[in-house]
Amino acid sequence: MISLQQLTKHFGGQIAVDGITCEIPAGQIVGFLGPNGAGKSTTLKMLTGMLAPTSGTATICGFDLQRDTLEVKRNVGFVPESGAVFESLTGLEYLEMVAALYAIPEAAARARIEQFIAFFDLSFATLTDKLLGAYSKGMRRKVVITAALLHNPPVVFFDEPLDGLDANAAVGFKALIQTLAREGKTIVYSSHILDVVERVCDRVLIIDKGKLLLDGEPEALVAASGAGTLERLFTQLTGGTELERRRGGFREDLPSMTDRARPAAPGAPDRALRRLFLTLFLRGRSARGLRRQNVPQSIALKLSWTLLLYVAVGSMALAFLTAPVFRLSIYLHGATMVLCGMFIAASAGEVLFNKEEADILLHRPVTSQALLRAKIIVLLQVSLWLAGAFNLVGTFAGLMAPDASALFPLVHAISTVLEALFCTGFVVLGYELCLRFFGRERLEGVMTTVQILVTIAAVLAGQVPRLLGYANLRAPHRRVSVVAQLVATRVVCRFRRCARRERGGQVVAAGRGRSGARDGGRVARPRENGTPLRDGPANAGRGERRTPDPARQTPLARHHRPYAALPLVAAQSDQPRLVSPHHQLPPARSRRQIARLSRHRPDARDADYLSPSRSP
Amino acid sequence: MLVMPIIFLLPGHREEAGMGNFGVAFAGGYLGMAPLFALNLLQYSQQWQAADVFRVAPMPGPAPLCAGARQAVTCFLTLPLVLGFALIVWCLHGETTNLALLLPGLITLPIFTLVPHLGGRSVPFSRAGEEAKSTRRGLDFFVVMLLSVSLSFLTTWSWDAGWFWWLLAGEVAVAATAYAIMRVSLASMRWPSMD
Repeated sequence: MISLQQLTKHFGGQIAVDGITCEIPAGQIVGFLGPNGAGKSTTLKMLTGMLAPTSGTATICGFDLQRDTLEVKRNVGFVPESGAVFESLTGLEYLEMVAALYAIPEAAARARIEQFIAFFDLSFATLTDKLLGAYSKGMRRKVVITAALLHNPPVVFFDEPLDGLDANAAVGFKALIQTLAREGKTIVYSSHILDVVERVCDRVLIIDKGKLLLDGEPEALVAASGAGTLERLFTQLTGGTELERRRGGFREDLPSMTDRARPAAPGAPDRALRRLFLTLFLRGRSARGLRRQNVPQSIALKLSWTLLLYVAVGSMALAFLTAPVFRLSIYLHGATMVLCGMFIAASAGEVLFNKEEADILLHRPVTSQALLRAKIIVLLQVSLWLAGAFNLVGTFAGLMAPDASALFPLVHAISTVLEALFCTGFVVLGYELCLRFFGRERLEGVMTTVQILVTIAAVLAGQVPRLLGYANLRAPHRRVSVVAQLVATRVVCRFRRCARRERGGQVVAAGRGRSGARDGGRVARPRENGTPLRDGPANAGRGERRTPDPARQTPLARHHRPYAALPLVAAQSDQPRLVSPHHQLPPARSRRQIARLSRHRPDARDADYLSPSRSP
Repeated sequence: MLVMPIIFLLPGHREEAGMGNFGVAFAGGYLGMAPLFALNLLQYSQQWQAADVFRVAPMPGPAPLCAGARQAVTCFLTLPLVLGFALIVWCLHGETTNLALLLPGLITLPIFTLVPHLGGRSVPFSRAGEEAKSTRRGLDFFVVMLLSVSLSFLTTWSWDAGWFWWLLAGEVAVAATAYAIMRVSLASMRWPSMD
């Protein structure tokens, strides 16, 4: 009935199914077992025509899987692991839709549906009146099983069919598959519940890492191996015993692993967060989609699309280039830049929704301040990349204009970079405000509004100055508009510096005024003996390597130490604190301990706040 | 999405030179785009995994499903929109001759309904809702809008220059050819492997 010959499936370099060969006669119930990732679902998806095999062949009811795919599909019923249904349909509508897909006449389909709902003890009223979204998981599973058997296929594949079924329904289901087998149908049953497989199946196939390890009757296999039970045999074959052995060792190793935890390098958690954020951002996808697309492809695609657009728009403008239309070309360039802003906004929004996933991927809780900091820095970074790319093309295009002044490249560069910075600032601030006011659930709904606001802001920031006085840089209104743009950009930069200042003694915040602006972002490294550099007569007023005076700092600023913020989150809860060996974060102190420590020892080092051996 | 063409149709804009005709042509272009975006959105669903049932069913490819989606969008969205816009243009302009300016946009309508399905994409309810936030969609939107605006400019220019009907004839020929090619391509499309 089913014949597999060296069936193989590769996903890139990964071998999911490795040359499986077997024959399954009609009327047999076959248990298809394997640990997670063994290749069970992949094999079933290949046999149902959803995945194309890399090599090898399979025939079902005498039809070749690749040549006669439609015939194979007509002879196969499949209950997928997900058990997903379209929840806005009623049960009956869904089943009638499936019947239509298999070209079953309506009357015949209705009769068959009634047969199954009687078997599964479902009421017809529920099936006709209630949407599938209102069904329990078990009821949905029953509908999915009914849908798979509606066309009375001779071969049925079940992928974890008991998931979500209650005990009574599970017993009923086991009776059903035995009845189906007695009717001559071939059942392939993939499951993790080994005792059910042992009781129901005539034959067991065990696979691991894509290879078929064992094939035979369950009792005979257990007896031959001397394992005693199918479960023990399964764990012996698939490396479960090794896991059991390691479990004991892990318990012994755990204390030593936490003992070895050392303070992370200054700024390391921030860097890790930024890296994660950048990766997610460049992919323009959520963390869940990480595996779907690789970064270089994504970047290349996005950049090529954007540059293509730019060239198209620029060419259109240049084709009509005369003195009055020169401004139009600038405007069109700006419009493309605005699109770029929306592009960034969309990607940023995508990443913002995944704070929880960032927590999981970094193996630690992420504070909202740290996340905000990472967002701003990464978005600024990417904005500047894009601005740079646009500038190259824009400058050359602009220089071709007959009325372009010599200052064109300079003004163009400055305007574009400012615009990118401004746009980014608006994006981040807009999203943050929405996140606070609307909450995570409703943020998605207001995303479009935010994008429109960002677009308007970017237009005002970038296009108005250009349109007003690009051709004449000496005009007063041009100076005014440039100054306005600079002020707006300064707000964004200020915002960025505020975020930096929270790092306390590691990154020195810029002072207020012009000297501060020059020195913003300089790093003050602690001396060898750990004494932080402080303002003194030698460097006072020069604005370099200054550390904020603890006396003038707010209590919150004193508490915000590099990498201290993250353990603080854990320390606030009553749960046992988890220290990730991956990041080697030091143990944390409570806020009260830190406040007391900073009161007594204003010159204490970061390590003093974190190491238990230095508590006062 | 429909705000922009309505703004262009408003009396204030009509007074500016050529804006009245451009507004009508622009509305036509927008109407052509409407099914494209609707079909594009229709592929996303929270229950996207349920679309496996389409792949397991004995259908050679996604063409029948795509045809159903096209029919639904045409009946429930596009036709009411076309009628609504025709009514608005007629009310605002008070004459029916300008309605012809909607035609270049409407002629592109069948092509725009097929574009999302090319290459076996946009199978209804078959992709996760999260993917709807993909940045590529913004770019697609921009490209289509650019085409639509260009067509509107061309229409207005040809109307003023007096060779509008020639433009229409040429557009019909090009659109019919493109439509036929796309239909053949779609009909021969097989389910892509889920790799």
